[in-house]
Amino acid sequence: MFENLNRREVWRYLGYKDNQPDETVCRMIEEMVGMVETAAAPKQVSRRVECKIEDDVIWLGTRQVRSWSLARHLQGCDEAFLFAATLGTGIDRLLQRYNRLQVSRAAVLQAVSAAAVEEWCDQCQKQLEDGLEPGLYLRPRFSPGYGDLPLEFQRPLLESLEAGKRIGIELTDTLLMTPTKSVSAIIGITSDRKSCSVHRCVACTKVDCPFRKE
Amino acid sequence: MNFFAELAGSRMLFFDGGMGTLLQDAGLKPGELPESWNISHPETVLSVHRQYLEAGADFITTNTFGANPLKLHGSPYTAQQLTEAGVRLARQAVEQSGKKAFVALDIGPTGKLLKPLGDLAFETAVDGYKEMVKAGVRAGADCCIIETMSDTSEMKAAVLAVKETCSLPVFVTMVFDERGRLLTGANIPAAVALLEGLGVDAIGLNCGFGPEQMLPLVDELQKCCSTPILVSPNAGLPVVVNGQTMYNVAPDEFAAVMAQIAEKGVWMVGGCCGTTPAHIAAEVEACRKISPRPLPVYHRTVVSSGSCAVVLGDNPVVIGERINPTGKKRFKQALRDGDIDYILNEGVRQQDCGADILDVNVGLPEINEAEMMEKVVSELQGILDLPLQIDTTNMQAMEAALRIYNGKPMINSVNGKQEVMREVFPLAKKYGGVVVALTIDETGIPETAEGRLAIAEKIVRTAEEEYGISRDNLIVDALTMTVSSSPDAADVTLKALSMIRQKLEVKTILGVSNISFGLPRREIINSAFFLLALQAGLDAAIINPASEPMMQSLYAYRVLAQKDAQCTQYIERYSQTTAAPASTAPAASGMTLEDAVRRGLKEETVQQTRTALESAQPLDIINDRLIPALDIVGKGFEKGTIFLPQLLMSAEAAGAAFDLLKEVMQASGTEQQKRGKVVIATVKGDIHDIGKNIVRVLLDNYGFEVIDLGKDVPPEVIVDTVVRENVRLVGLSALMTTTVPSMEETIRQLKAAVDCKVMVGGAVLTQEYADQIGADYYATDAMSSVHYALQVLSPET
Repeated sequence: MFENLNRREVWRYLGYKDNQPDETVCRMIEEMVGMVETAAAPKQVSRRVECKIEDDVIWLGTRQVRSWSLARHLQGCDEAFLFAATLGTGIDRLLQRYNRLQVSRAAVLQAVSAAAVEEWCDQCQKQLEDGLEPGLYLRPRFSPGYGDLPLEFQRPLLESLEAGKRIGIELTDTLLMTPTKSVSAIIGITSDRKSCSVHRCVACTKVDCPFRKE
Repeated sequence: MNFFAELAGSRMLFFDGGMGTLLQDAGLKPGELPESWNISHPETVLSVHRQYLEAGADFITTNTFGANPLKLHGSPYTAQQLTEAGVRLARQAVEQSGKKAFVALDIGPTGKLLKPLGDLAFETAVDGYKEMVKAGVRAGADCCIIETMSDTSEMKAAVLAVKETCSLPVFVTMVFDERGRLLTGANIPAAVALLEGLGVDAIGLNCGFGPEQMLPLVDELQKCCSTPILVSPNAGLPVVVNGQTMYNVAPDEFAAVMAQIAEKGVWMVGGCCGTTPAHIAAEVEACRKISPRPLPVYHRTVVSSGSCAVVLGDNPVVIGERINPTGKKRFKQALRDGDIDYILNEGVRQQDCGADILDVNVGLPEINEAEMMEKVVSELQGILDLPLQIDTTNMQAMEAALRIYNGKPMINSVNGKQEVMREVFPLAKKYGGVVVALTIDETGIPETAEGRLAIAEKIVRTAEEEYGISRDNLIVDALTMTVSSSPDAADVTLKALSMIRQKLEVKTILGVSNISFGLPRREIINSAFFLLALQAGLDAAIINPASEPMMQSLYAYRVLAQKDAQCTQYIERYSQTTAAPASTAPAASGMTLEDAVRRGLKEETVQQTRTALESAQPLDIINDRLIPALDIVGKGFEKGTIFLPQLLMSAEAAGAAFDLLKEVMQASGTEQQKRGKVVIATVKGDIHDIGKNIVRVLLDNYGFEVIDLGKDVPPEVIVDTVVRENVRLVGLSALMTTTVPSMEETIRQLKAAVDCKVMVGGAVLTQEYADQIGADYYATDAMSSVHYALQVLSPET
């Protein structure tokens, strides 16, 4: 599932920027890719809903949320997918182990599994897109907490997906997702193909982020 | 006997079907709490119950699935109000129908993940469930159904809440995925072991799948479950039509598969999402005439962890004995220092060596054993998936561990003394477990095999007759005595072992190594005796799995006794090895200690440190070689020529050298001056702690005494520790914007209580943000926290 995981993404998460890790670190990365492959139980859930936008008020099916950045992001979309995906608790158990016993491995595992959950989301998104009627395309994923979309939207978003029951994503009191290697997002459906090619970082206002991609 | 014990198996029993979809049809809005309709639309809920009773349901499930206090975000009603109202409506429906039917209090998941993976404490979960159960019992529920569960730990909390509140029958149904696993990892045998250990009245499956997809799961469940089974599938797999979730399997189709399920020997059937009174009516019609098959009786001795079950008897298992302070100075020190990592390492090492189960003994007179036991068990099960054996004579420690344990444990131990049986058996009965029974009683250890058999017999009888604990849940230890002081020791033990197995039909266990006490090269005797014991039918051995001669005996035995098909396990373990282990003398690599640290090579670093010790004092090696090497790595990291993984690997390599030097210094009575204490923690509400852990490793390296309080730490705990330990520097981490307020609160409380400096770090923080929340220092990366700590705590360097 993750044999083709983009190693450059892993390096980027580890702070290598344009450098290549030495042999020891590369070996550790490969070992961790193997572990993630075994420990991950990737799951996903999505729901296609109608999307209506009026100024900063967005209706996604029956749920309503206010956000200028999401409104901008979904401009021209009459529909959207509500989406959530996770690698499951096995990864967190491994992270917990190495966080206690060997932090270098935890750091690498953290980077590998972060890249893996994105890879899993990309695979899911591709599948969703392939299932669309001809002439429809998907915008990049947009998650609660991006721009001015409140993190509080996590709860209604995950509830309407029944993400707890279906794929095991629950929220802490502080609205963090558990298992930690999980993603929730809104994905706009549009007939304007050009609008889909931007990277999701563009929507983010944290322009000084070390991981930012244009 | 409760009503259920009488009724179950006498005929097919029927649960009702879905509630949510019917309420939605009646106007429940998306996002609206279905349970609130117990109060706002009682007549609708009542009517749904009535329809299911008409359809032929014997059990109707109250509309209380989500009425858990932990789940009611912003509802105007309390859990108690919703639960009471829900049970009353079901009660009323039964009475109005005039039928003989039962009200099942519906209990769903909390909607939160339990610690350590989530932020919900076990006892908070128990308390939340108790609130519901109390209200349900008060309003007249006949039984409880804990359903749609996907976490073993949470299931245990719910079952304990029921059992500690009332004596109503309790059923548990779970959601497995297509691989037969719960979302949190347990497979079917593990979940069944836990639930049968807790003594629930029925076990089953619900939700997740339609009946068709449940067929293979039912088969798997029946292979290990001797408890009545309940199956309530959805009406097929969900499909979304116009934004609405639909389930499309029609009543007749549903009922046809349910009849197949009933024919397999499932005693109770119902329905979950998307099923309607029509589905249940069809199901009743299709299954009514099937007579329930007798329950299979598996004489299995089984323990489990949060993910898997280990069956004793098929193949001898190894119980790792190393988590035990007896005779281990370093281990005792770890216990006194609260150094849990040391203990966790012992656990991981034994797993790597091939242990199947880990014994856990943390008894030391000067520590609070119950607290330590609970902590160690909870931490071990967070990082390992081996079942644990709880080893203590302290009953508070025993209960604390049994309660928090995420599975069915081994319990070490009971013996023939009345007083001990009186203490241990009730705990084993309540929490479940396989109890190790030592053949010793008030009169001591019998010298003959017959004498030990007699004690074993007494223990088995007492367990079965007085406590209702089956002999399947006992494992007898015929006790290994020392052969150098009593020449027939091995003979008596082995004879007793055979007799106990044959006459009592129980499984057996031995601590093996006592046999060789007082003799040289003990492993020679131990491994030979182990082989004899295996030949005599030993089911479990408490040994050191790192002892290669012992493991060799075991792997060889498995091959010779046809317990290792195609010699697979043996070949896997030994094909890449040679008879004589490679010399441990350092290979001449030409590498210096500094090189080894810089390249992050742990073993090489330790070797080079040993070499250095031949000509230098430990303290000089630290100050003149290790620290400068670390400084170079640190500077490289800051300049951007060395990256995080290398920095950490170097730190870990140096850490291994520090450990070695510390031992050498302790042996010679010198001690390294610590640079001062630093408390570090990830703030309350935050569960992402890798940044904090990175800082821990580096501060350790630089000689600080680091008190790591972990993640999701309440401000009060941090303040208390800082005050008690007289600490002058605190490091806090927070990952998310939502947890920064918790960091701010912690700083506020710290500043109000003591005079200390606070450094902060985390992805969303900036200098400006750090200033705003009152931090003294914003650490941009791990190295900068080291510099700040040096500046605050040892300004002379």
